[in-house]
Amino acid sequence: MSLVSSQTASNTRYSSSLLGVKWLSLRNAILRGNRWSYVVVLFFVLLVAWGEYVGTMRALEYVCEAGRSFLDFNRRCTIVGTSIASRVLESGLLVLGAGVTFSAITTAITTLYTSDDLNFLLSQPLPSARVFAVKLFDTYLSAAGIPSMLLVSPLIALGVHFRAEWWYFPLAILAAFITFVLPVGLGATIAIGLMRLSPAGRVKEVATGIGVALSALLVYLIRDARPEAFLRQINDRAEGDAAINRLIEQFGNPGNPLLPSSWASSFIWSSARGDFNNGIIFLTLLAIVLMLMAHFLATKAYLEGWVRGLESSRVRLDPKPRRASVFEGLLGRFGPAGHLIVKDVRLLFRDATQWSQLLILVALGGVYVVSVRAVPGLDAGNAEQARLYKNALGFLTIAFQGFVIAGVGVRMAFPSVSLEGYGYWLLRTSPLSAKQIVLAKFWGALPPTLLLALSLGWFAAQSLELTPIITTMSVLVGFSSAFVMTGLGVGIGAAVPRFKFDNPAEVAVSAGGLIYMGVAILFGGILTLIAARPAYVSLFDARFTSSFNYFVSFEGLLVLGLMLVLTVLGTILPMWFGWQRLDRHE
Amino acid sequence: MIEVSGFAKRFGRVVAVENVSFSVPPGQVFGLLGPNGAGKTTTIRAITGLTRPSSGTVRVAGFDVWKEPVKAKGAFGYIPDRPYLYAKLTARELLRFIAGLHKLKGVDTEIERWLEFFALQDFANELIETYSHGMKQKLTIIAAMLPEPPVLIVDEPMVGLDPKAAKQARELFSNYAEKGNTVLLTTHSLPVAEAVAHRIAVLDRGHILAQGTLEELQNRTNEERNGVEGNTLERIFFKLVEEEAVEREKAKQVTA
Repeated sequence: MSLVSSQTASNTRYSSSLLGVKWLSLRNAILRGNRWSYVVVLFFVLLVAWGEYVGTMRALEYVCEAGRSFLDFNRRCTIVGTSIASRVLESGLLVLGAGVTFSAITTAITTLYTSDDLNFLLSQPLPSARVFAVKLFDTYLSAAGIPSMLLVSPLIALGVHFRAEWWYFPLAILAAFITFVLPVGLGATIAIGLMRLSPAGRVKEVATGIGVALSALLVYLIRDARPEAFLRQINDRAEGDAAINRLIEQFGNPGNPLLPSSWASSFIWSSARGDFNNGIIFLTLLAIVLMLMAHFLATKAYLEGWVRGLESSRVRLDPKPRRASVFEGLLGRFGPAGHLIVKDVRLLFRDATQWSQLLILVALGGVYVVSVRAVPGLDAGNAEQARLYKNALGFLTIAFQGFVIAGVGVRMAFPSVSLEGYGYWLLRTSPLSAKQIVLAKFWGALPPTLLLALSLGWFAAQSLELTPIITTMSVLVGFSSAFVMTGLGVGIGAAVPRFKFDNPAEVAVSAGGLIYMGVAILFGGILTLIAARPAYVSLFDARFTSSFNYFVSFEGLLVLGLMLVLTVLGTILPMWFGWQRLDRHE
Repeated sequence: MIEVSGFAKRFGRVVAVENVSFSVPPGQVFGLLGPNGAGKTTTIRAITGLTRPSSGTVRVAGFDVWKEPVKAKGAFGYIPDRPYLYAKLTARELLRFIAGLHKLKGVDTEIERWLEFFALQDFANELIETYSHGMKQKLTIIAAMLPEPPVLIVDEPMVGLDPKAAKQARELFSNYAEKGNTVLLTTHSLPVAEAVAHRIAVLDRGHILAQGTLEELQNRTNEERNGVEGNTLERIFFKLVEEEAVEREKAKQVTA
């Protein structure tokens, strides 16, 4: 009895505020959820955190040795290493900031204007600014929650490496979180403006366009930072110490001093080495100003914008019957699966929150291409050294290729079943098996992924003038990655579908998405290991340096056979698991 | 034909439905009535393959819904209480998609006939997201009936429909059964059940309290339980539910 009354009292206390209600919902969801799934999620979160920590420590140890012959160490890192690492940190914050900015505007529109609970909340005797504040918090969690969490482990590693003072750790993490408050605040402000001013029925499209433009600007700034150019010139001993000093002067300063990511980077970097930096004060002030501005706009325009959003659909009555398109007719020949693909393609291109995911695919491809071209030392040394260097790099790109395809898979293949959303009942009660659904999703997601994978493989081979064997392996790995990572994404996505969501981007950052990324990257690693032997042979065995003969040798056939078996099993097994689980889903 | 035999559904320790059995032969409309939380929707979800029975069997047109799901689902059309449809498709696109899933050919004329029947033809090139709740409900009815399934399963069919459309729907279900098809519907509207259902089951707290024709239910409440004054379905319904509550209270006192 006393337990019941104390729980009721506690619930009443929580539910007296909007954030309290959120917390109560989260607590109930956690208490009533599957304990085993929490164990799995915790395991993967710890694995990712550990990987980030170890990776950052290793990278710092390596970078901090750079340019050792030129200059002395300064607090466990050469001056050259310090410049490179601080620029990398700045670029990293900018990359994550670009991602958050990209999604913040569309997320803000979804959470601020189209959430299911708004009808209830805005009809209560509550100031609309209070509802806005809670929704802004939701937007932050959706758009910036994961990037913020991803930063915690590397920032701790940075502090440990430099033996930072105790106050560095909370302040550095605070700086990272505040850095992402800015794009979210900006996104919310733009969303309010759009809901008031943009053409009715086109708000999401315009928002996505602005998000793309802002992210493109940030990507341009990332390229402007060019840490690799620094390394390239450091390696070029011919330029001499004068050039090094000039570069240190140039790169030692922030790449884009007016960007908040530079302030955060300067603060984190300085404070890790014991020097407090004003960057955190500027960041905090800017965040407060932006939040006040958003609050002011919210009190003036939020409610009106929401009402306008409800009326933002324009109907043009046209009684003329429209028949099936050629595309629909062609794919319809493949039966129910073909019709499912036609439906998915239509929804993809009509929903801004879905087609904006495609832009991420293009952006990932673009960053990959630019990065391969910008790698330092491509033409260094004599012809033989250049050949070895390029092919070694070509081999490394095989590993990166897997990472890029995994990134695309988590946005395209993994959410494909969950994107059925509340309409899933229609498929579930149709004469269609779970197997047919999963296979249709697979064939729908495969073409763009395969196209991207093969393009990346081919591009790397062309840019780096790789040997025939590494070229072949690069393309084969692309082919295998596309099949396996699509099958894996659709399979895991079907096994743990999430049909209730506000924004499709939420599906990708769920626990299942994390598991998918872990398994996909592991598969990419296995493919890289398999490709290592042919790559080595093509570089150091004179019989195979300029021909495909290796692939008709016993060893070559073994490699091809192993890849084939892994590809077939890696594609089919996750899908089999997926449709078994989907079939049992209630 | 629908056959539900010994169906039970448990969620952990909570028993939502227990030992529910009924069958609906072709040519009949069967009404499943009950207060909120009685287990109507759970039963419907089991029949449509949306939830797996903890025990018992559910067969539609002779096919076990969980052992031969594709055949069973090919034999029924389902109209849920909340018409969640793909918001970014037009009505015509959605109906062609449904036809594709059921492998129907040459359905354009049939689609136009249905759209005209529910006065949706002017809106059929618009995205479904622009539709009112009632328009979506009409579209859901068309989607379920387009493949002309031998069994129709309807959950709260009148929600959101205007009076004219509600009358159309009632007549539609009656006529559909008269053609030799099977119709199962759950409803809170006792007049609707009274008007269209040949047989009725009253469900409360996961148990069937009584089932039969309206006349049989009247006889049962009048004779077996020293019945009620009057003979409307509403009175029978309340009498059955109240009697069940009294029985439950008695049982509680005995065990306490």
